[in-house]
Amino acid sequence: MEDYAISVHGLSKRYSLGQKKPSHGAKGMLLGISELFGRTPQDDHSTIWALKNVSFEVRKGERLGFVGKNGAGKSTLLKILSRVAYPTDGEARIRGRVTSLLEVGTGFLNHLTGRQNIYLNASFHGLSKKETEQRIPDIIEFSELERFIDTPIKFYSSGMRARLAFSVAAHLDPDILLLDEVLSVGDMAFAQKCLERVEELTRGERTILFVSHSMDAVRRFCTRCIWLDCGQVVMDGPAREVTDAFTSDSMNLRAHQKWVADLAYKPGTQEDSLTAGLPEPPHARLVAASLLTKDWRHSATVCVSDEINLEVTYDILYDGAYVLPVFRLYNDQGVLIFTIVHHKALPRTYKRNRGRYRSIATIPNHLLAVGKHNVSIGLNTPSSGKLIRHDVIEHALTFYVHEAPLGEPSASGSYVSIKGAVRPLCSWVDEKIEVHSSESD
Amino acid sequence: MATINTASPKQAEIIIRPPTQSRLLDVGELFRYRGLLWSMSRRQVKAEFGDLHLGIFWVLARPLLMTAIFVFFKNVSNANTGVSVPYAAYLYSGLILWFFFAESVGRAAASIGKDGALMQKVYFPRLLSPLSGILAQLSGLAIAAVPLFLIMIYYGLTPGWNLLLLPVVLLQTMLLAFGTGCLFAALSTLSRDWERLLGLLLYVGLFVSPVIFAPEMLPKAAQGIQMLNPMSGTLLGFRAALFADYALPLYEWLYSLAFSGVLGLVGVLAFQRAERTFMDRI
Repeated sequence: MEDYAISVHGLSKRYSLGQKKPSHGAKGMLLGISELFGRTPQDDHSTIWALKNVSFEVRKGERLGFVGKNGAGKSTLLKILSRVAYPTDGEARIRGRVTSLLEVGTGFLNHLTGRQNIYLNASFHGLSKKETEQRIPDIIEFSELERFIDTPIKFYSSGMRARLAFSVAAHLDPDILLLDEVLSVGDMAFAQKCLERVEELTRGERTILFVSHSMDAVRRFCTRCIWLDCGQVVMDGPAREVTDAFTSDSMNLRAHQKWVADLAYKPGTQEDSLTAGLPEPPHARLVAASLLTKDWRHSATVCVSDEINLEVTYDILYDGAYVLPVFRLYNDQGVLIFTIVHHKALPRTYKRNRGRYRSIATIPNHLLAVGKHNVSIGLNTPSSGKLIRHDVIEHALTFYVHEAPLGEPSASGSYVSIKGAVRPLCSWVDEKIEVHSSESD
Repeated sequence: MATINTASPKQAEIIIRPPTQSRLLDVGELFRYRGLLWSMSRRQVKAEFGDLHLGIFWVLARPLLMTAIFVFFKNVSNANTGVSVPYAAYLYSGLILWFFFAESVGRAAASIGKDGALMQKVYFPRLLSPLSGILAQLSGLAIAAVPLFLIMIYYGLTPGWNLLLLPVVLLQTMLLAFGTGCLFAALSTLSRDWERLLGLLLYVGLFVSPVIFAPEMLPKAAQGIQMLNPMSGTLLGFRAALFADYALPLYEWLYSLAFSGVLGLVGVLAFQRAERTFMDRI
């Protein structure tokens, strides 16, 4: 007997693209009848498959994330599993009580007060009035809406509705929790609280299905991840691997680049280099660049807690050239964060002869902020006052730094995210320096 | 964290399949969700009689006023209505059943429009929406029944063993309202004109059904035609349950019952189809 919580087999969903408006007139009325009792429309140009033959199984207690572009079918899938949309084909089996939180304001009625809506929502999930009453103080406290709880929710802001919706869902104690972009609603402080609550919920035996555009959130909460594209499963595996693959694909990340294919030197340069003075620059050119993880793998996604190795391969064209590679790191806003140079290479000791060289610079861990980064690479000769540029390639490498998985040290601590171009992990000391009288009571 | 024993929707395994492969009517599921049906109905009753302080007045005003007007007309015109029991009792009982029916149909027909937004967010058996609308109308009927008892006492009318028929007739009325309501709920998602048609039917129905007159008033040929109206047998059955010396027109009522059964199935089918296409539209 398989111990699955959710089993999805060959699930497909077709939507009609042409939006049917209610038609008028006697003809519209008759069309209505034929539409109700007639056959369903067949596959043609006006239909789209939001999901096509999706199969997977979720074990009890597994935390499965879904990633993919907009319209990849993630939300459709959760809708079908929440039974607010029907599949066109295939089958899904669910074992256990399901609570889903899809978009904002899940199942609220505008004319009811916040409190009445809590009862209503709880009753949809099979909680009796008594059971709901036991939870109400916790729900209201969590939502931070004490003052407005007896106000009809038509007067609520969308943020307030989201808070209430999350608070109810988070206190229903389901076996299976379906979450769709919940963490993108409300203000930062509340989003933080939601994250903590999800974390709390994940500690139990709960099975969680989580759709998010935040790779960090998926990496943080999910053990496993499915990448959907055009309604089909592209990849299914450990959360880290799948999110990395998806990030590289969707952000056009580049962990490796090569510019010069052949190893041949330019003819005729040798005699020139024998002379005391070097010829006009360039004296060197770039060959290739790579981004390597600490175990020397090419990777375009790295974790904040990992060191990053930037490798550059270049040819020095003349003997005795003083050529230094330089890396410049830019963030996604195009801001230059820092420049890396070889700090020990002095002109007198660092003249090198013709040949192919490789330099590796290691960026310490816990330095870069979470996000996309660009690396520009140059070959320079710094000489008194002026800089000779031999070769420069902008945006040579593009990589993404993601948040550390749950449990590993991270400079953001318990925050969802922290601002800044860099985020070093600084040491921190807290001390109690005074005892207030109120505490001695 | 406290574990909870869920009241109703507990199920070993939920199987999600395309509409074409799933059961048309899952009675077991409806039963499991009875707690929700109850709370949905109660909410509507509360909205009607709790918030509006004059709720009870409005429920009584319509049948009482109409009874007063038609009794007055009958008395001044000395019209022959063909009624064998005191006219006020016959008329009032007919009016409250008709209004119960019409309101129930109206609520059920409006259910997709009313709960549509909810249906797109939360799962519950969709039929609970029209069902709760009809159940909630029972409260109005119960309130309207109080003057009926007073009228019956005034005229010395007593129900006999036939009172046992009352729940049966009421269930049949609700089934008819459910079928009609579901059918029109489905149709009105496709064309607004169906809503208008329903309004017209319910308005005209009041005057062509044996509410203000008895079938005996009509010529023989017209009597046959008018019995095609499923509400005819229903209304006569209702009177037969209430008044001891009013005979039950068995065949007419059985026709109404059969009609209600068929319409109930058609209504469920149409409702399910409409709900599925409606869900995909947004």
